[in-house]
Amino acid sequence: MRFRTKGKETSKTKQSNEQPILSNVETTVDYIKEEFKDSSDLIFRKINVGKRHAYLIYIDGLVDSNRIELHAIEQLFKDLDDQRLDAEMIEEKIVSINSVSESTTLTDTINQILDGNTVLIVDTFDKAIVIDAKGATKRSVGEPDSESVIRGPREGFTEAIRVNTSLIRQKIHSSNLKVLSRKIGTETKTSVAIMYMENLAPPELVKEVLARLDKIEIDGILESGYIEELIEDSPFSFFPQIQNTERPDTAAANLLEGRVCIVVDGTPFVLILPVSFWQFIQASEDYYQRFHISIFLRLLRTVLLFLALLMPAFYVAVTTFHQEMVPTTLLLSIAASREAIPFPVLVEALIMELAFEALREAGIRLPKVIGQAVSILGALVIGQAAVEAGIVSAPMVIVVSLTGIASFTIPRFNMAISIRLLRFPMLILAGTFGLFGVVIGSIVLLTHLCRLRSFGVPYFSPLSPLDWSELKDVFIRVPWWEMDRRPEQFVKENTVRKAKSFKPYSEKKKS
Amino acid sequence: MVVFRFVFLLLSCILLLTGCWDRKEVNDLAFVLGTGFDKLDKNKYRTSVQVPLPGNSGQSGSSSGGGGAGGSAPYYVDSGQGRNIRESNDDLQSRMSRELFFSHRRIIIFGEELARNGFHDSLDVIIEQPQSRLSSSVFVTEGKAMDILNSTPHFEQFSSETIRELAKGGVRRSVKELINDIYNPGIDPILPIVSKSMTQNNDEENKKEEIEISRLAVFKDDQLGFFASTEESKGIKWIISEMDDQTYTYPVKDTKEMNIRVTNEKLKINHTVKNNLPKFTITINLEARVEQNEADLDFDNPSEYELAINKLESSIKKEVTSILNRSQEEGIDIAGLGYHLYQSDSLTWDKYWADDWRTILKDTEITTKINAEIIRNTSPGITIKE
Repeated sequence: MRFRTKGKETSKTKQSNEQPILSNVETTVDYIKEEFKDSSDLIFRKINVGKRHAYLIYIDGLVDSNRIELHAIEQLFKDLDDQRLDAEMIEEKIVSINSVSESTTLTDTINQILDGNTVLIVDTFDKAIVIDAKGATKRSVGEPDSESVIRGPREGFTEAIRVNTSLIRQKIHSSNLKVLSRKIGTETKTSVAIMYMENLAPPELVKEVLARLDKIEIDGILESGYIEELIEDSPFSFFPQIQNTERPDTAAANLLEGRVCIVVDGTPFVLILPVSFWQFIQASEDYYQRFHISIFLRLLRTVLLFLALLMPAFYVAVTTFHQEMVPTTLLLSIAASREAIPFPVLVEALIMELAFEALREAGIRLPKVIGQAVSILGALVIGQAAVEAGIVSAPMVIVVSLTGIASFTIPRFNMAISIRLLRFPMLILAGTFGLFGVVIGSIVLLTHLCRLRSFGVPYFSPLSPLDWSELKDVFIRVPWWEMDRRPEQFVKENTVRKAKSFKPYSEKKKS
Repeated sequence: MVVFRFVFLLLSCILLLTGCWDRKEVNDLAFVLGTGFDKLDKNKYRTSVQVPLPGNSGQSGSSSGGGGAGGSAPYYVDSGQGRNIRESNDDLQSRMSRELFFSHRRIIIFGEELARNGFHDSLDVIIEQPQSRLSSSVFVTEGKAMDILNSTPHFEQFSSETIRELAKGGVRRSVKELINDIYNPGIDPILPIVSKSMTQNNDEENKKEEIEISRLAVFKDDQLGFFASTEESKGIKWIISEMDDQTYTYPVKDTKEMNIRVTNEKLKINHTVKNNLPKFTITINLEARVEQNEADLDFDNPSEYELAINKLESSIKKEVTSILNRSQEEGIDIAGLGYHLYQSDSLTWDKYWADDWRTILKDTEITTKINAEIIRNTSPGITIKE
């Protein structure tokens, strides 16, 4: 709440500018010039249309100047019959650009300029002609770095909202796919597109999403993370309640399951909601590779999720409180390697975990060349030298690195960081109360997970509340010919995904 | 927000004030691998423990551990004395910088003297200690238990481990089974005997003490009855159904033996009552596989098959009756005949036999029946035609 700016005051001052465009072109230009004082990138191109003065106003860099030159300026320079000239005629006969509209108020005109449109005002006209010839620099569609796959589409979202919505449109050729638009941010006026399948997404959900989006009052949205934090159900929770993706196929798949996507201009990360806990341990590739390996990998990930969260805690608890639980020979090797270690196991674990986190953090933001140096340094210094110097024991290094590897297997980064963070409270609980503490911590965590909601959908579903038929796509992934229904958690009507019993068979055998 | 802060404060108090109150670091503990109990004098006991020295274990990864594989043994044996087992433990602890930790004790050895005087009190200590495992194996030895712990067998790092592995392949009695045998009426416990022997090679320098488990000790309640001989031990094994998957060798012709492996042994006790006195029939049904057929018997020939079976049955019967007679004379019920009565006819058992079972047993008639069957032959090997 503290961070929300008092947007109302600024909008009030703008409201007084809700005045129509005057027919005197110079007054209008002066007004706009005043509004854009000290903005050197605003271009006023003065031209004569017939015998009247006219101005093309745009922000340099946001427009495609080639198109403006060829299809607007050159056309307008032609000899024109001045008497019959009016806005409609310019729109319909002269400017040969695909999208042209009109604007009647000064505020709207200014907004259009800020959007990257080119505005043409002509003397004696009481409206401005908005020419849509946006041309800001765009990154091309490339492979998403954060979610790479072996099998699956190689395209990823870009920073441009129109590119992103079109990428989804390219996947779903259906008029049921709706795209609603909003502008959020009093200063940035970031375009936000809400996408959903009209026949699948429950209308209440769409309504709720729109309501929460409309409530946002903030000066700027620079990334979809802003929106995510502003519309979450439980803002204090460690767990992400909205998924983000860089992949159009993931977004499309979720749309087909009745979820809503929020595309934000300026970021390749599209929000998907509502979401369940288990979606965060599923990768898009699970659906593309053969189902056997998907089942194996999902089970593996589930096990590793527990390891990532609990393994250091379990090791600490068992070696400091419950030595009787360890097999004798294993305990003796642990005892042998811990013989010269000066720290308690808990401190040892904290040192190693923190060192590991530091290494990871150091590696992320460094250029790739130096990143390699960091990993060598880390593996050598932290791994070998620390053990040889007798600072940490070898089993602890194994535990920490296994935990690290386990946390890397969580396909969604935002869930991985939650698990990474929760490891530390668990570690401390284990160090103070042993397995009892680990159990208490797990119970608190589970209770919290069961209580969480993502846009009204239970976060832990379909495990809690339990729904057997939905489990086909949680820990395992049944073959596509068995996935005949959509998740019924929130898709109420239209649950049939495909014809039943579509298992491939040989025609001959059947007869 | 205030409530939240208050709760947070309380929670952090729990964490910070409790500290780690039960915390025991691995290197503050002395893991007892095996214990030996000896009786020294009247009301004087000795407990010896075998404790690994992690610094000497020479394991990889412990390069920091100082000694490494410096040649010294990876364990040591120490003992304490006292008026009972507990006190001797305390005596021992006063000499140890690390706390004795019994949860990994898998071997318990009773010395001969203690066994003769009854191990009941010593066993009670084990049960009373929450750290003890009921699954640890119990052994008895001729002589002092401490000597067994002190021996340095070749294969394993610790003699306790050797004993445990040896017991796996033969008769094994856990604390739990031992307690059952003592407290159940009409049955007496059996314990395997661990003994020291030397490596049998001609290399005098490389001779080492090895550990052997080949015989069994017969107890009368918690007191040692007698140490059975090797022959008798075989008989006991048949009676207590411990011959499954064990090998057995018996003569069929002059110097020709047959080696078999028992694949299935089933013991059945039946009784009849006459004049309030029970009469028992012990039936042992066994299936065996031939491992070596020295006499080249042809099992397709019924008479030769009969020969092999009869020799086997009579050989077993001889062993079984000899040990049964001996134990019967001493009033010891190794087969659990009384327990069989207690289970199948408990009213009569309580009424007539329970109080005086040992004397009744001495005059009881016991018949043994062996039904052997050879179900699988071996390859005939080289047959020389005459």
